[in-house]
Amino acid sequence: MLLPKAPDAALTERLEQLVSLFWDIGLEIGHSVRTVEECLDEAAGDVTIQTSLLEARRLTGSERLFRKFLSGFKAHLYPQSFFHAKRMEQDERHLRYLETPYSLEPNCKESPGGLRDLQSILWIAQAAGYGNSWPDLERHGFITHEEEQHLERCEGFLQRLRSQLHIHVGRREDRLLFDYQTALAQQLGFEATPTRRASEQLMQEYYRTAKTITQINTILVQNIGAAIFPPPDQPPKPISENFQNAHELLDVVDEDTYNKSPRAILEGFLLMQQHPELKGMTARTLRAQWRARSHIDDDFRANPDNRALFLELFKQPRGIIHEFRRMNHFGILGRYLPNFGKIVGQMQHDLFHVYTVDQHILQVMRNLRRFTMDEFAHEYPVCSRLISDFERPWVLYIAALFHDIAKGRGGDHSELGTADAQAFCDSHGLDAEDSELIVWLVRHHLVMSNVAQKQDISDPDVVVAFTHIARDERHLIALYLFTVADIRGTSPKVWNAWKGQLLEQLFSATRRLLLSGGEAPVAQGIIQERQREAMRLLRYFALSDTVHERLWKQLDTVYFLRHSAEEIAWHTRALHYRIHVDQPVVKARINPQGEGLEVMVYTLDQPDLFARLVGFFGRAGYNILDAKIHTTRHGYALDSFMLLDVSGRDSDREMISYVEHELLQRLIHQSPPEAPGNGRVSRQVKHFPIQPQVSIEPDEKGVLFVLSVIAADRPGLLYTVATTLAAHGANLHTAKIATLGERVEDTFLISGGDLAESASRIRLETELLEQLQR
Amino acid sequence: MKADAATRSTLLNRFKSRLQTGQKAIRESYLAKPDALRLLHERCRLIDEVLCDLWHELGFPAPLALLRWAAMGAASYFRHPTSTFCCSCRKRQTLR
Repeated sequence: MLLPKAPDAALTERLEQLVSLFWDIGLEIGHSVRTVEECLDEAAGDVTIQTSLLEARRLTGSERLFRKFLSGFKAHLYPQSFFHAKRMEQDERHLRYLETPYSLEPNCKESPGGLRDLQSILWIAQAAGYGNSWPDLERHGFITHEEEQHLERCEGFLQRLRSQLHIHVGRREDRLLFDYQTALAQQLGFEATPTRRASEQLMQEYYRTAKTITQINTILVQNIGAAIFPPPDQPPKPISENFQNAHELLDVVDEDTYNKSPRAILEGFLLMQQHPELKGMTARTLRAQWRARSHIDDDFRANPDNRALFLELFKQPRGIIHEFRRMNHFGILGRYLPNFGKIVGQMQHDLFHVYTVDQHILQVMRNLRRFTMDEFAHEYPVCSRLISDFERPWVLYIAALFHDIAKGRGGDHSELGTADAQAFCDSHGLDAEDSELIVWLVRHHLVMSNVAQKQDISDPDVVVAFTHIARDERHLIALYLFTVADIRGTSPKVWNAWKGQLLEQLFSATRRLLLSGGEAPVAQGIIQERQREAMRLLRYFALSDTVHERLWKQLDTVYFLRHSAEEIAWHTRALHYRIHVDQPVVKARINPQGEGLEVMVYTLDQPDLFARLVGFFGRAGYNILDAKIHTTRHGYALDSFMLLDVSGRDSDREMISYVEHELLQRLIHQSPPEAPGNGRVSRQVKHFPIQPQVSIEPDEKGVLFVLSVIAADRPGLLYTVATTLAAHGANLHTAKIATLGERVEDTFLISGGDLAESASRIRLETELLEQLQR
Repeated sequence: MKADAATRSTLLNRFKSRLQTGQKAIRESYLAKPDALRLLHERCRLIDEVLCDLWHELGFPAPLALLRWAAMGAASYFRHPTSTFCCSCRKRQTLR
């Protein structure tokens, strides 16, 4: 309420009465009662109030007073300070949302690419006197008519989405939470297809819109800024026929450059890589580039010069990731590679990717690139060492660009992507050797991760089979580097030291095999080597040379194949003097090769032992990463577990005595298995469940059975599997537990019961499926 | 005019009912034909009119003015700052 002068007591009372009426009739409004002078005082130096006042409109009352307020306000509004303040405000807001529009649950108002980014442009424009609408910006030459229409469409989509969201939730809620995505998609008319949920299509539309808005926001804010701040009076320095350096920004020599020479679109990015002194692109360059993007058509793509330029972008010593991200940000990458354009903004609800496909691809490129940089060598020393000797590492970046390009087409994306990769290599004139490696990497990019996490990599046959795929050292190194970069690029939650350890073990074992000529080592040879090494380690503890004999007599070949020399030595130290003990033995230690705990249990076999152990670890806040279950010749269970703390305690060392004491008590008293606590399933799992998959297949030797379980993660899942197996009389030999974000892919080696009969296997599969669907 | 208790009660009931009826009609119209932007525009207009009419009912002196704006964090629809624009629907609105 705007007043000509401070109110007297009577007017104050009436104004209070008005505000009280507003609230009592159900209008939840904020209010203020000010004179023009008070408005101007409040606004001085406070960008939030300035922004509000900038939006003020008169509902009723004195027009003269309103005009007085407007002219006073404008006189005190400094476009340059307002521009700086709004930009800082926007940067801080973007930082709060991790600077990405691609969050799984974005805020359609505040996230980068949300409605606020559009408002910020108009506020800045309005403060500078360029109007307060998109048509105004068109009139002032900041955008073309086509861009104005495009902006209206983007804004309209976000407004519809936000309104629908408010209507659906029944209150002001701007977060596109999993809980609402499916219903919103349906309400906004998206329909599921055989390969894509309606919600995925809605979110792709959202991400594309948000991306366009971030592009336009960057360009327009920079352009309005350039109009507000006159450039310093210093002539630009020429760089090439098409470009110059204008105050450390890449600048087109004239705004028609891209129309006259479309190849300059790619040349600009190459120059950015080659000129470290350039900090960005000028406003007019961005605008000209944005307008020229439609020049990237079939003729452009077929032009050998453009192909050569594009290939050069992978080979530069610096700026690769920056410029590929910039090309993607401005839609150039998706224009040059149309199939890449299709996966831009595509989110997959597979419970472990947290990035859109394009963002993941660039993240994998960035991880590979990081291996080559000295300043990050401490992160993955093995990878850094390997890539430093790897010739033409840019082939890895090309493979990264194509490895997931076929996502969302239905079918096996690794296989489908090879066609795209092959076509790219052929059209860009790569030699046969590099093309073969790129295509091979795309086809096999999931293999190493699968073998390391789901198969028994201490089994020489597994390593031999993997060696046949890897073929030679260059392929193996490429795949190893790629796999580490790929897993790390999926989600910050998916990678852990245990996975790193498994991959490194598989890599080392395969490399040894390849270097020895590919001859599969004889199992007996491996066992002797491990035993020798274990005995060497035992000597450090001043134990006699014969200390191992009584225990090892009870252990068979499989035990020695599945455990490392270090584990064998640890078990031997703990058990050599109590081979026939009546009381169980529980030992725990910090995992010597990474994070988490390693626990060993030695006990006369008892019913439900695995379920009891799983229940205990679950209740203690641990996830089992790996379990090795062994029965000695004299009927003792000798089981070992790799555990990862998921309770957030961060105190593995203090948990050692707790685990040793408490678990021992439970084993002594053979107390019934205790189900882990019923923690809540995540909202993502709740709203985007995956159909559990269970299969039981005989192993290659036909002696044991491989049980594979894929399901959404939930508290007590492993306990459910363990109790179901126990109920069917199945014995467990190993368990490989792969947790990928919110999804688990577990592999168990089992035997016993009636598993040899196909009908029994089907019964067990069916019951497991039922249990997992509950 | 200073409203006494009886007048206030009458005003309150009248405007409360008008607001509720208006909101109900807008919601029903939306459910019959979902058009989010029209919904926003109609809500904006309803609230503007209620505010103006209450202002006039209480007879505030002519030299005062009633302004409206969206604060940071409030609904972003009511963007347009000049006195003749109403919300994001861009439809011109006649304001008294």
